[in-house]
Amino acid sequence: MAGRVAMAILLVASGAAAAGGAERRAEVVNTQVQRKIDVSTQFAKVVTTYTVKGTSGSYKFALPADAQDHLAFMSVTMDKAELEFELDAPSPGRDSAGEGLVLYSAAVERPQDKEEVKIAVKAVYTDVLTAFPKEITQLEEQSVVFASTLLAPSPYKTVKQTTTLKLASPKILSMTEAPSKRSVKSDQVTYGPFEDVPPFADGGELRIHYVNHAAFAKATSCLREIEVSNWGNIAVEEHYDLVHAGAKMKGGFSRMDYMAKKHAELPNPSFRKLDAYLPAGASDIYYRDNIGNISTSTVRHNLGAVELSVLSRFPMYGGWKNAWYQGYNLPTEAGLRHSGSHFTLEMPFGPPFPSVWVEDLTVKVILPEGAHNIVALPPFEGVSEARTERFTFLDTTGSGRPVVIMKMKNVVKEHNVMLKVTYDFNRARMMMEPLLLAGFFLACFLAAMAAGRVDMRIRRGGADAAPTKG
Amino acid sequence: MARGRSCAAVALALASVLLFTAAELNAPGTTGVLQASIGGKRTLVLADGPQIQDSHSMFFSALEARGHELAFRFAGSADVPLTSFGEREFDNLVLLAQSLSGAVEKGSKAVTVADIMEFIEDGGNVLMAGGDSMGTLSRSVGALCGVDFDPQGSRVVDHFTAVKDEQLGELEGRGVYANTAIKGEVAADNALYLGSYSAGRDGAVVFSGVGHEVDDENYLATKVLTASGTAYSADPTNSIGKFPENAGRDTLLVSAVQARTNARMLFTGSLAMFSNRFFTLPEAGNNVFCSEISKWVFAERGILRASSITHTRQDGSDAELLLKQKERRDLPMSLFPEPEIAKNSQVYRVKDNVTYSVVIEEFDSEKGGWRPYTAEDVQMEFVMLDAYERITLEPGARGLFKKTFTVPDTYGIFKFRVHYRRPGYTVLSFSTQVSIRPFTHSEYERFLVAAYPYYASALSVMVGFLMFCAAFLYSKDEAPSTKASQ
Repeated sequence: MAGRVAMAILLVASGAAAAGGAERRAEVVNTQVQRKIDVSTQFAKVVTTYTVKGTSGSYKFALPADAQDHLAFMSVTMDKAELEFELDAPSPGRDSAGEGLVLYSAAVERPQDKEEVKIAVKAVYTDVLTAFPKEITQLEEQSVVFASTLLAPSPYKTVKQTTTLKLASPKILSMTEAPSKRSVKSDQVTYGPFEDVPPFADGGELRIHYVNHAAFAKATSCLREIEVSNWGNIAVEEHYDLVHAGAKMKGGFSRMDYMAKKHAELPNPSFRKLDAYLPAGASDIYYRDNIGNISTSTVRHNLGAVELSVLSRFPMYGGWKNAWYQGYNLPTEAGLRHSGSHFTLEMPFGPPFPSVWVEDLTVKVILPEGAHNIVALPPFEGVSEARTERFTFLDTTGSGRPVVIMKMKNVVKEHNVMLKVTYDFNRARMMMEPLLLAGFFLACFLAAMAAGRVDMRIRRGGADAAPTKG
Repeated sequence: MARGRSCAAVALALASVLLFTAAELNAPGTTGVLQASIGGKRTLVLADGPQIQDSHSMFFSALEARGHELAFRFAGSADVPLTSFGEREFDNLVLLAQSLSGAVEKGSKAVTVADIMEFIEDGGNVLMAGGDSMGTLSRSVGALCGVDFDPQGSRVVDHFTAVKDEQLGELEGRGVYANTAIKGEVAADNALYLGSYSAGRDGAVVFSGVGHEVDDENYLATKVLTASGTAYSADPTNSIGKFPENAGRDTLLVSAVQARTNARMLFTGSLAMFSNRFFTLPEAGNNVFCSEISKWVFAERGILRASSITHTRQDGSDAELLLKQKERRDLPMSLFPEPEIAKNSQVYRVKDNVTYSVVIEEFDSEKGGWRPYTAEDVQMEFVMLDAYERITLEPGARGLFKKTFTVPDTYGIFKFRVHYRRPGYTVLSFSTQVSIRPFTHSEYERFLVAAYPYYASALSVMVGFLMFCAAFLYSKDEAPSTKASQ
């Protein structure tokens, strides 16, 4: 009876078509759910592969609501093809079983010849590994706690599911027991298989406490400036404010202990080296901070990328901060295309460090003076955009160089895709600067010539200007 | 038990919320200890053997009635981490043991002095009662906290106040040990320690055990209970040859110590004091006394909290900002870096009248949690290395302490500092930084009377110069004589 009333409400609320969809959805079954959680770095990368039978139109999947603030990146793929997805508004028909979850629905087109489809949901979370203990000394190991649920909740019935955790080390201090459903193989922990899981079942808490010595490098802020010159150069400069976001270091720092550990190649909660992958063709690379040039960096030219390894001035321990900037030049062929006077700039959006996550990213694109019809096409939602202008060398007209400012929060490696900015620019205007310089020097010479021809003497010289007697 | 746990959880959650909101309201640049943690209820009892659960059941049930979750561990199996992964497993430790000695089970590790000291440094509270044969563990913990117990074998003896009762045990006042169950005298006349206990109404505290002493200059320790003037501390089984270990009121029976981390400790050399036998002695106040003093030790009383720290000019206007957040043009960061100076520094001028205020509250679990604190002696110092001003804040409604004062005629970086230490209360110590600037040029007085001579001299020089010019231009020299030129 209650079910019929609920159905009636649903019918009134969403119309007959939606109800038809709901009916079809009732047949959807996950024949297999495989969840792979990679917590071997400072991130939690969760890839859940749903093998689905009987879906058509849309497929719903659930993510924990309390981790939603930490969700940096998400993508849904089916056979390596990206799928569109959107957040589901909570529907009145949903019961309390889905509490604490956020539902998404992805648009799925099932191929006619296949009965089952595989949908992979990839979610990257930042700041979910809690250091425990919160403070360690230089000689202690850094251990973290990861908490999730034993099962991946789904609004559909699941025939069989497993959860695999990839840890940073085989040193596990404690983990959730699941009798006869858990196997540990070195740094891999598998829970399952669990069979015939009802909808929205989460199976209780999954908590694992393990040693993790990955670099907990968090950039509290990062500013990237991409300055385009139509004379053939794209200058990129990046400013970082970095912090070690792992277990805070307590007690003093001993250089001797640090070196001893380093020589013995023992795992160490600190890091010093960060690798960046710059676009191919990057040249004139520099790495500096407020003091000046930092000499500890190496550059390797690989196929398709320039690998820059930067070493900080000091090893980074928990809670320690560091700030620096780095930059390089790129020929315009590497990022700028044009057809006539319409230009398209394509540059990486995120910072080039795969192991760093950025809390607050600002990307500034500085276009040449005179650029107009500027359209910025950031690759993601949630990028705020602003405009301003900048006056630097040889900017003469009142408008200055147009600057597009884009800001985004919680940026990870997966965000490092191409940012597109298009603009119109009259190429003849490029001659403005040389003409300006030529004009200035011409004016100087003309002034000098004119000055040379003016007789500034008070008394006239020559024979006819003999001194008067008197 | 479950109810107690949920109550504690609610109290903790409430405390954290309050702390958060309090931190929001304080003036920028405020640092220090604004609040000590209120008493948690996870209590560990370390004892020599399980018989303590029977012999001291009245004391334990009084603790349980107040919501404490008691965990018992005994010598030999005392494998219990006081802290794990840097976090305290318990809020309170009750050490009711002689020595905690005994064979330790295989694979387990006995509690050490270092464990207990680390626990105290993390802010855990300790109630420690030793006994007649007090071991090195208890003695070392006491010594590290400034409490020196009298040597092994000694007892506090008093022939005048001794209690003689059939209930007393073999070691507590019979036979050779006659006259060792004595009545103590309350030394700390402070309701924060003693609560509702009063010796006149509830009867004296009966004590049997080892005395101790505390350095008179130890301001972290408070003498709660002393022996009477006729008591002395010595080995009752031997004759006293020299001077006894301690004599008279210098023999301390119960001492309270509050560490610099606001952790609280209670030391006594009598295990029997907390026992059912002594609780039920006729005319003995042990029951009320032990229960009340444990409320202080377990931070259920006398916790202070400061919040809403503000400072303004007397007319209510806020301090200026040293470096106003200027709207900067968009410029390349590496060529035009941000200046490396402290921003948003609060600035007053010398001779400004500044009003400082702070809200102080007191926690008492029996009187319904946090309530306004009243006192006439809360002082605030205005400090630049030295205190330039030391003023007593005026108490107002709802725990508000406030006072207006004139900033000294010295410029520099100052702090409003409150360091409030009173017996029985946790210590408040916090400061708020402000800058004091000199007068700007436009703020000095103009046309002072004292400067009139200078004005007059400047004007007179000008007038004189005009007169000289006029005289020089419009006077004519005598024509030179032709004779002289030839």
